[in-house]
Amino acid sequence: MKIVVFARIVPDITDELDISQDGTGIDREWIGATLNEYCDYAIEQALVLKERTGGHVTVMTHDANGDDKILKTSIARGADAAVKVSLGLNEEEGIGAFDLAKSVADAVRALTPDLVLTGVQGPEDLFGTFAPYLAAELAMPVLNVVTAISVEGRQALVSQEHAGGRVTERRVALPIVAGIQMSERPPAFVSGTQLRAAMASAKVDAVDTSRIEAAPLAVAALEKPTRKSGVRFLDQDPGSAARQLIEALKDKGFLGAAS
Amino acid sequence: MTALVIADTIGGRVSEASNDAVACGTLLSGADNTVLCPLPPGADAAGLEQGAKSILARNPAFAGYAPEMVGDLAAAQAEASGARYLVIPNSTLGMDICGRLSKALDFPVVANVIGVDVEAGRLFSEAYNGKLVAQIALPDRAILLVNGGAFAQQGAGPGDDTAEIAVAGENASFVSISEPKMTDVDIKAVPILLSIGRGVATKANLDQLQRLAHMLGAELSASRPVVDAGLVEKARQVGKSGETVQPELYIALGISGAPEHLQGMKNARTIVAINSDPGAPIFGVADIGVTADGMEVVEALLEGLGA
Repeated sequence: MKIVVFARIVPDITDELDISQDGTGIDREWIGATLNEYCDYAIEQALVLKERTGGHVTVMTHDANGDDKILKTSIARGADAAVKVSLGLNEEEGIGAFDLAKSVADAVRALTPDLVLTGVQGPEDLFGTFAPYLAAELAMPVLNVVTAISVEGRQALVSQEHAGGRVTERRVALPIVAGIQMSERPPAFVSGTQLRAAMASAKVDAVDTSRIEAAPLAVAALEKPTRKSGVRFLDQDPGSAARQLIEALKDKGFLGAAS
Repeated sequence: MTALVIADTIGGRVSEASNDAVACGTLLSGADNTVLCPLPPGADAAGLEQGAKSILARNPAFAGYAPEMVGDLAAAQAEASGARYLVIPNSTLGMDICGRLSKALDFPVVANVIGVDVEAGRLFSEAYNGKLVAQIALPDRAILLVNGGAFAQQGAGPGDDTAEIAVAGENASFVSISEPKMTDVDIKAVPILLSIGRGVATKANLDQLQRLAHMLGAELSASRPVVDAGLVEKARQVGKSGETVQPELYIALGISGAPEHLQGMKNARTIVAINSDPGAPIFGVADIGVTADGMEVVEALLEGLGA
């Protein structure tokens, strides 16, 4: 069984975000890039399937900050091959899910995968997520919000999560694209020793192609969300904030009488 | 501007987020809003908001989960009606059908929709896990994936103009549907919730957090990542794929406030948010905010409460 994982590299949005000067994007100068969390689960789930049923796992990504490290770390985790699709992006440039799917579909198709895994969503997916667009390009069925997947012969048994925690199970013929919500186990930790060895010896295959710019819509403006009026911010010192919070909760009747 | 709303009806039950889609479709098109509701024979569309027109599409496969059939139905109905907007909940169904529909109909997709201003010609979408809001020029045709809890709802069933159609086909891929496990915990029924997120929840901290919940007279709840990490049972999860709660007091501790979480708690009577990131979206719905290290606040609260 041939499994391809497309691992997206996305802006690290852990800290506060600033809006770019033209007002239509985020200021990427001071924020890093990171492996999309859900794609990390996709890599891990591919490795689980490989261990359980055999097969070959290729992890693929596009050119972005940290691309080689992510790919070589995947090899250290147990992937069999790594492919970087170079789209000619500059370091501070993002790429939306629609353009990315169109740009990399040929590279994915060339590997003749039985199963394509990717993260269910990324932080910049304003115009739709990657898995449905990639599946449409590959003319494969897509199943999203996948919380469990196993393979028997040419069929996958796939669990998908819905609102309220309901779960449906479907049995579908391969090949398919799956948007992974979570893996059966947490992503594996790679030690410094393993990583150094991988960085020194793991091979990354390169595919050069051009970015396809076809996204029909664009952001007109980005802004901070409107906050509820009357938010009361307490002191930033934890001790002082705790005292203020206890008093506020007493005033509102949630704790014993106010002092 | 005709809109076609696709209701999300997993297991023959209309999802709450379907009504956000109906409200969005009504804003876009008013009297030209049609709601397409896939249902198994005999099921009613209980809880489905009124569209100007409703179509109940019947097939036994809709007692399970049949996204391909729903997608085909939506495409056929969109072409027959000349709809310019397909409005679908931002759900598993929405994600499963939007790619193929987009390619087949040549309709672009806008996801995470939380608002529409037809007069200004604008759509509003949540971006970057809710940290920012994007304005997008309203296109002349689109598939809109609408966030649950984003639109005010009217609370009515399907209107007078309701048609029923039979849908051919069967869904060989469906195996089963399961509900969340019932436990003794019902976080929807308690007045105070102490909800823990990735910012504070670790195995090592759990005892302290449970002690704080006890001191506050609260039940412990959690965001999805904490449940996925196995720290807290699924029945305590708040959010899109967990429970929607409306307690008297919701204390969000170390929770950033991603849209999927806010959907499940933003209507709590009083919300306290404690997070070290001043830009965390949770502060957008809070009544009281604390920007400090979560566990340092926990320790100070325990001391102040006499633990």
